[in-house]
Amino acid sequence: MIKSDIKKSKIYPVLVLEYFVSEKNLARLSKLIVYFFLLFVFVILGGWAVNAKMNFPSLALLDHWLWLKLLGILTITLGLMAIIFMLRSYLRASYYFENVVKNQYHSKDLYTFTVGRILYRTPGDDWLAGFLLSDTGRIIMARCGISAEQITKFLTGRTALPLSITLDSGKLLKLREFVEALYKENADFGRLLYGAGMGEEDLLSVCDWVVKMIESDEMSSRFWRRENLERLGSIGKSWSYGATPRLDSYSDDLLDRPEAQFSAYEVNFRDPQVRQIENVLARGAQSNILLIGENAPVRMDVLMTFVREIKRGRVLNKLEHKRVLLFNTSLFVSSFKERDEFGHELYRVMNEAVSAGDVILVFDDFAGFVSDRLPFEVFSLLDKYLASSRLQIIAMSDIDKFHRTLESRSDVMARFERVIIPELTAEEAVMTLLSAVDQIEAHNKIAFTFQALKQVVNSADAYLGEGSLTDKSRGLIIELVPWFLKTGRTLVLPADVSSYVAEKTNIPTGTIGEEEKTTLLNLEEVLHGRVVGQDEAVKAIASAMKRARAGVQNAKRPLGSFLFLGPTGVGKTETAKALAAAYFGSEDKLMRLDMTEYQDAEALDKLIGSFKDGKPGILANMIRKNVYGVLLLDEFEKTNQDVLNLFLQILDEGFFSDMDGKRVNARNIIFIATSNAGSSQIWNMVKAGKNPAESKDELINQIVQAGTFKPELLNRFDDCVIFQPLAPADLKQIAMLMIKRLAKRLEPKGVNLTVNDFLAEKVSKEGSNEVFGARPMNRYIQDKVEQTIADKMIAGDLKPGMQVEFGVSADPAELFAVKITE
Amino acid sequence: MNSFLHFSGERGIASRECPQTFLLGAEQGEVKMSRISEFAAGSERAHSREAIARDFPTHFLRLLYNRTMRLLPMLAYYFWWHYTLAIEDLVANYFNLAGWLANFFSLNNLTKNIFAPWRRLGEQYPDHFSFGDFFSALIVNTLMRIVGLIIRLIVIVIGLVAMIASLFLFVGALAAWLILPIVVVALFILGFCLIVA
Repeated sequence: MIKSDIKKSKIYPVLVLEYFVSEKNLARLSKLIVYFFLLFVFVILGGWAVNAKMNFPSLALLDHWLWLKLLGILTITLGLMAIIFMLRSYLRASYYFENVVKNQYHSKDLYTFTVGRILYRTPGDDWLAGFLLSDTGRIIMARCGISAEQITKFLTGRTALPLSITLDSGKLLKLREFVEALYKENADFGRLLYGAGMGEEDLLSVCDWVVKMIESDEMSSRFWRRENLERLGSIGKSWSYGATPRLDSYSDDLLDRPEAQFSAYEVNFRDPQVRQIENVLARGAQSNILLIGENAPVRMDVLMTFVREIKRGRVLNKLEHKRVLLFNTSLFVSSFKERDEFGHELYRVMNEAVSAGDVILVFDDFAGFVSDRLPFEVFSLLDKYLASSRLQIIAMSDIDKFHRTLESRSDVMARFERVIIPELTAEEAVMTLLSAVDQIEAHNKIAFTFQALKQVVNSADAYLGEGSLTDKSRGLIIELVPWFLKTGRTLVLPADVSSYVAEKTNIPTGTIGEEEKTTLLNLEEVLHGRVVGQDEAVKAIASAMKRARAGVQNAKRPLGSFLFLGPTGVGKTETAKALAAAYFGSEDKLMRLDMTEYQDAEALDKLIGSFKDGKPGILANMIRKNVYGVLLLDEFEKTNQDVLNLFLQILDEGFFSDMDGKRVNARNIIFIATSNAGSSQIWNMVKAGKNPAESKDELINQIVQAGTFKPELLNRFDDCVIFQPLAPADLKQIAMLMIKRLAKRLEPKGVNLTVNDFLAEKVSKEGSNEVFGARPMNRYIQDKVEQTIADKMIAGDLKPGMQVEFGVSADPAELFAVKITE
Repeated sequence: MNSFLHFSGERGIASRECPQTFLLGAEQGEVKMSRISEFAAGSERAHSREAIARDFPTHFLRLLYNRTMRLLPMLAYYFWWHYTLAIEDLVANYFNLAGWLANFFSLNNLTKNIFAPWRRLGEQYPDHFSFGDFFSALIVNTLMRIVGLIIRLIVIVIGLVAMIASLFLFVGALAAWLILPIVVVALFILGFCLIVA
C-alpha cells in the first residue's frame, strides 16, 4: 500500500535520483573531474610551450592529431561538469530546501524528505528495519544510546509487522509521526528503547532534535541565504545617530558580545518575555522595563535573546538599529568620591544617551543603584529620563531586592512595566541544551546521547549550587568536555556524566560501585562498630541510606531526616558521627549546630543571614560549602519557633532561601536533630519494664501534648528514633571501646595497655550514671586511668616498651592496682 | 533478492559533514551489508557471504540495469524543473541578494538621512541671539552636514554599483541556465567529433 503510494508525491523523482547518485557523491565526482580538467589543461599548455620552443617539424602532424584528441576530451569533461552541476542543483533545489530546512510543506506533499528516503529505500515492508537501518534512524538510535550491534541483534530473526499508516490520508507524514507509529505498533521496539532508558516522549524528543540538527546543518551550508548573509551585519546604520564617548566608557555594548551572534536555529522559551519587552520599549512615553528574574544569568539570558532579535532585525520598526548598552553601575559609582561630581557625570551621561537617539540603556541591579546607600538620590535624577519618550531603559533586579526595595516605592513602580521571568522547567532546560550542544559537539568532535544530556540537567539541578538551571547545565557540559576528551571516546553516555559529577562533587551518583555496595550492604554492622545497642536507630538510618542511594526516595526532599529522642549520653551524637564516617568517608562531613545558641529573636537571621546588616547566614554558608553530608542539630527543642518553622520548610522541600532570596539546596544533606524531650518518660517506661521503641506513638503523643514539638514538624522527619537508656552490658561494651581507643592512643608512645574485663567493668560502673548515661565515662577515663598512666610515665616507672595492666587492688582505699611489666 | 543492496552506501542527509555524521562511523560500528541482507530477506532467506561473493557480478549488472530503468522517466521531471521551478529559484535568489546588498550598504537608511549631520555632531544655537555664536554654530553644523553627505554619498554609490553588478550577474546566470542543456549536448557532440576526427 505505502510502496505504491510513494510514487504519488512530488518529491518522488528526487528520491529516485538521489538514490541513484547522492549529492555527496556528485560533489566528490565533480571535484575529481575538476582536477582531471586542470591536469589536462596543464599537459596541453606544457606540450604546446615545449613544442613552440624546440620546434620539431617532424612532430607537427602528431602534434596536430594529439591536440584535437585532447581538446575533445576536455570538451567532454566540461559537458560532464555541467551535468553534475545541474544534478546537484536539482537535488538541492528550493522544494528540497523548503521541505527539509524550513519545514514548509506543500499541500500536495505526502511525506517529508526524511520519511520519503526511508520509505523509498526500505525493501519489502519491514518499515521498522527500514527506519533503524536508514542514516537518520541510525543517528536517532545512536542519540538514544543504542549501538549498531544492538540494532543488528534486535533485527535478526525478527518478523516484520505491517504498519497501519497510509499515505493517502490527506495529511503529510512527518518523521515524528512515522516514528511514533513504529513505536506504538512494535512492542519489541518499545522494549529495546526501554532497555536503554528511553520512553516514547524521549524518543520523539530525539527525533525532533535530530531533524532540527539536519535542518540547521542544511541551512548553514547555504551561505547565500539571506539569513546567513545578514550575519555579516551592515555599514552606515549608526551614522545618523550620535556618538556616545562618555557613556561608552561606563557601559558595554551587548550587540558586540559573542552571545549576540545568532544562529539560524535556536530554541527559545523566552519569547513571551522578549515580546513583552519589545512592545513596551516601542511605545511612546515611559517605555521602560523592570526585568525581574531570580539571578543574573537568567536575566541576561532574556536580555541577550532580545538583543539577538534586534541584531536579526526581527523587532518592531521603532527598535530597529538600536544599541543595547549595559551600564556598569559599580564602575560608575566607584569612579566618584564627590557627591556633586557623581550627579553631574550621571546627568551628562544620560543626556548623551538621549541625544544619541539609538540607545537602550540597561541597569543591572537597579535596586542597588537607586538605594539609599549611595550619597546621591539617583532616582530623582533618572526620573526625568524615565518619564520621557526619548530614552528607553531596562532596569533589572532579582526577586528579593525587588520585593524589599522597589515594589514599595510607588514613584519607581509608576515608571516601569514589570516583566517577571519564570524559571525554566527541567524539560525546557533539556530542550535548550539540545539546541546549544551542537556547537560544542562540532568543536570537540564528540556527541552526547539524549540520556546524557538529561543526566546533565538532573545533576545540575540536584547537586550544583544556586543559579539558573540552563546556565548550570551549560556550565556543567563545558566543564565535562575536557574531562571526557581524556577518555579518548567520542560518545558521551549518562554514566560519564554521573562519574564526572561524582568526581567533581564527591557525591556518589549514577550506578553503585563495588566499594560503595559493600559499605551500603554492611552499613548496619559498620555503624554498630561504633554505636553500642540502639538497634532500632541504626536500622532506621541504614535503611534510609539505602533508599536514598537506590534513588527511590523523594528527590525533592533532603537525603534523610531523623529526630533522635532519648536521654543524654546514650549515643545520639555518636550515631551521627558514625554515619558521617561510614558513609561520607570522614567525620569532617558532619556539620554541627548547637541549637541552644539559636533561642533569641535574631536566631533566624543568624541562620539564614540578615538583609539589614548584610551578614551571611551560618546555616546557608554551611550547606553551600558542604552540599553533601550530615547536619547534626543538637538539642533541637531548645531553638525558637521561627527556626522550627524554617526547618519545617527545609525538611519538606529540601531547600530554603537565604537573605538575598537565593535558594540554598539541602537535598543532599542528612538532617539529624537530637532532643532530650521525653527522656523522663523513656526512663519511666524502662523502669516499668516497657520497651520505649514499642510505645513510640504514646511517647510522641506526650511530647506533642507537652508542646515541645508540633505534630506537623514531627511528621516531616523520615523517622523519629527512640534511643533507650543503656543497659549495664551496653555500658560495659562502650567502656571497652573507649579503653581500646586509649590503648591505641598510647601505642605510639611505646606503652602497651592491657584491655581487660576488670577495667571495663570498673569504668562502666563508676563512670556512668542514670542522668548522663555514658557521657561521664570519658571524664572518668581521663581522670583516673589516663592520669595514673601519666603519673607513672613522669615518675619514670613506665617506660616505652613496657606493659601496663589495671587490676583489683588489695587496698580498699585504692581504685585499682597498677601492674607494670617489662 | 537484490533488494538488500538498497541499503548499501551512505547516502542522504546524514552523510553530509554535519556534527552528527560520525555517529554513523566507527564507534557505533558500521551496519554490515551481509547483516542487512539477513534483516531484509528474513533470516530463512539469508545468504552466506560466499554466495553473495559468487553472485555479485550478475547482481551488479542487474542492479545497474534496474537503476537506469528507474532513472529514465525522471529525465522528464528534470527538464520540467529546469525550465520552471529552477528559474523561479534563480529569480528569488537574485532578489535575496539584491535585498541583502541594499541592507548591507544601508541604502534606505542613508538616503533618508543624507543631509543629517555626521553622528549628530554639532553645536547648539544660542538661546539669546548673538551674532558671533550663531554663525559659529551655523558654520560648524553646516560642515558636519557636508561631511555626513560626502561619506554617505560614497557608500550609496558603492552600494548602487554592487547592485548593478549583481543585476548583470543575474542576467548572465539566467541566460547561461537557459541554454545549459543545449550547451551540454553541444559540448558532447563537439568533443566526440574532435576525438573521432
